[in-house]
Amino acid sequence: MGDSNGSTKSLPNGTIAKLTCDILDGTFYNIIHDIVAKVHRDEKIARMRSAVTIARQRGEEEARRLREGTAGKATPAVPAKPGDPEAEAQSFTNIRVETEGAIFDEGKVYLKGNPLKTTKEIICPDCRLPRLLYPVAGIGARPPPDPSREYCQRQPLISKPGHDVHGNPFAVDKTQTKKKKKDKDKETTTSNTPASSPPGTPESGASKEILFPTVKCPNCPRYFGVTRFAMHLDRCMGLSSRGTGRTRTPADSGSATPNPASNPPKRPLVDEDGSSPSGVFPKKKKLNGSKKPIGKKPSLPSKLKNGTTPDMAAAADAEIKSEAVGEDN
Amino acid sequence: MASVTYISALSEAEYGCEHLAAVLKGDETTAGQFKDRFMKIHKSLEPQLKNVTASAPKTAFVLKPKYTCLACSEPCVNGDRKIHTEKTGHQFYIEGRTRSIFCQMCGDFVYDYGLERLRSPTASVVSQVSSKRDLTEASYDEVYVRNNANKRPCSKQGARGLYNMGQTCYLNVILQSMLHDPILNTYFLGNSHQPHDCSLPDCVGCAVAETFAEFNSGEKAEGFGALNLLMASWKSSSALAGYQQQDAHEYYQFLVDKLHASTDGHLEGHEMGCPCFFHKAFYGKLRSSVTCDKCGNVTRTEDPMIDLSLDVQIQAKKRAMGGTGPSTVPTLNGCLESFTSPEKLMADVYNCSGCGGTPQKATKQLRIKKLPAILCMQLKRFEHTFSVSEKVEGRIDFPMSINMLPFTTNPNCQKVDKSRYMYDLSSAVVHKGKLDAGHYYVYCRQGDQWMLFNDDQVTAVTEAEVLKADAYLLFYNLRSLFAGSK
Repeated sequence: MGDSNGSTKSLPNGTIAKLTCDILDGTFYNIIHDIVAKVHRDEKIARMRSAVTIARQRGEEEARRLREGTAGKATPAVPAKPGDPEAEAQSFTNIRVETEGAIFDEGKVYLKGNPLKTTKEIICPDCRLPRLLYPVAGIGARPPPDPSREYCQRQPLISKPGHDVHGNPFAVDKTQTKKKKKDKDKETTTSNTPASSPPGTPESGASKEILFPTVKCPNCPRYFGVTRFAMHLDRCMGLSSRGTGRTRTPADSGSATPNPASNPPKRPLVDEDGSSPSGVFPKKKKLNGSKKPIGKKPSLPSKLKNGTTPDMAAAADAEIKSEAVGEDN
Repeated sequence: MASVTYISALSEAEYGCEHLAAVLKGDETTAGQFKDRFMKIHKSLEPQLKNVTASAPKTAFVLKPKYTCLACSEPCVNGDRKIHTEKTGHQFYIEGRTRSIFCQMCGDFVYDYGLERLRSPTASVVSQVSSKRDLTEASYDEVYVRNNANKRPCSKQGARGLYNMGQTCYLNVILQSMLHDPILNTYFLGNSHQPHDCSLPDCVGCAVAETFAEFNSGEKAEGFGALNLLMASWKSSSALAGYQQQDAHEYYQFLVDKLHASTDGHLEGHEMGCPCFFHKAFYGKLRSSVTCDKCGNVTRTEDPMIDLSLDVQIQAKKRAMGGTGPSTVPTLNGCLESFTSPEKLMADVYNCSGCGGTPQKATKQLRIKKLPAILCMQLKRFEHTFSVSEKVEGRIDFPMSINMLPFTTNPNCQKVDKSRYMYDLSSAVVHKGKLDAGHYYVYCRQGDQWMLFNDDQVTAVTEAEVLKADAYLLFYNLRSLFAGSK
């Protein structure tokens, strides 16, 4: 105590307070400085690229115009087709185009002035269309500045409950009709306002729900809802007869790396039934016919195992139906 | 940041501003001198390592950023810059924190493409490889590439979900984190595995290549199902096959193994030092050294590893015992520390050759000998008692970037380039539910944006949300490949 008192005495009053204040001040300054510097950097580089892209586009248009002009004078000896960089570079000789923010001079682009002042729009360097700066729907959405214009498809991500980053509602299963209706009602009430604005996203997005697509099994010629594909493939490859004894948990993984060829002798069992799991193509029809009885039997124990009997049964039924209808899809 | 942010050289201005152009466009010597000075000052302003500042504390009078004059190295604060320029005519300064160039004539920071490339961490290697390549040549190349390759259309990149095909979320999360890996993207989109040339039956590599192509086709926004990959996986592993839930970590190991097996020129034995791409990307080496407590004889063995399986239990127990206070959350660093810390072995498991092959007590320690470019870490969230296995719930703190140097075989090495050991988080897989049944989803980074992939549902999330997740698998990427390959 005495020591610290002694040391503070030697300093004038308020030194520590001043020092603390200065350090805090400096630290906050730096934090804000860094954030602003990053935003500045990102923005200025984007504007620089926009200015360059605009100038380059003009330059290339000018070059094309000249080329077509000379081609008209019957000199097709220099077919400056894209593909040959040398020729393309040559076609830029003596071309100088000046835009508001940059100068295109013989294939090179120089900045003119500060792009933060000269260039107002962010242009995508790849597709040369203007970029949208705000999402078109959901939180923080703003309508595009010019609805009639085409914008770069690389848009800010949309964040909207029940919708993905593209602004599409989550896919729903055909079977969940009740839930679907509820969602639908909600959507129509909430999304009236943004639905009028975006030209890029389909306006029907609010009213039309997205269903899980139907996919073709790569192993056999039938079609299924994508959510039921694994279940089908299990049978299609003739695996389900032997799933019963094994319940693997993550706990097993500690030492055991998956070991292929651990129980190959079980496969021939299925083969004996006549439905070859490898799906030899001439056997297509036979496979179709014998599928159902085989498929139904082993699904029984798995129902019990999973403990979700009504759901599974419904799903299995639905699968059988879709197997029947599937060919039409 | 480790991501494929490909920027076309054609969209870059020749110089950062008109005033910089005047200097750099002039004769070779002026431009060269300017660049040399820039690099020198740039290097001197490098943030110093902690131990250096500790040994020789510097007195700093201002904390605020200083602007160092490029011509005479005089540091100025924000207000004095103008006076200095009026007095001396020096126009350019380097700001001390971000080390960007400030042009007094523009009154603004300028970002020159050439100088930015010069100062990037990979510049020294790049300049060795291509010392004479300038921007013009680079843009020649680019025109060539543009005219001879398929261009990826503009879209919201990397924002496609994968449909759950029925208990296949274990596959989806691993695939999704691979689809967002910049190294694998470069490999597969660069046609390094060509399905039409591949003769392997049921090749998993082909199926993954197909998925990469589909994922990046860009035309569609909705999800898709990785049907062929599922089928190829089931066909090549009977353990994974069948309509049932699987462990995502196991699937990851399977996939890496199969991808490795599908490349041309790979070697089966891991000891041989396989030169193939997947080996370099995924496989590291663990060194286990066992020291005999009696005679001090050290036995070292090195094993290949494709991931680090970290015990969470020890961390959780420590917490329960109040070792570091009850409020602390276990950390990834803590897990890594206990993973690499010495461990006592009982006498019955180790026979010391130094003591004539008699069983001895010994100390075992694991260290990372070689780090892969894609580092997967599994947090073992299971607890085994005599008959029951349980999942350990709860958060384990993990960082956005991690320095792996302390866990390698030479943790105290001062000379090494630190960037060779810096890893950035690229994906975090979360498991919800119980051990034997549950659901996986994954957070992936696309550029600077994080997204949550819950099968086909893709939503944007913040970095804070990712860090709050109860991760099961973490994927880290080496920050700088150039530094790593040295």
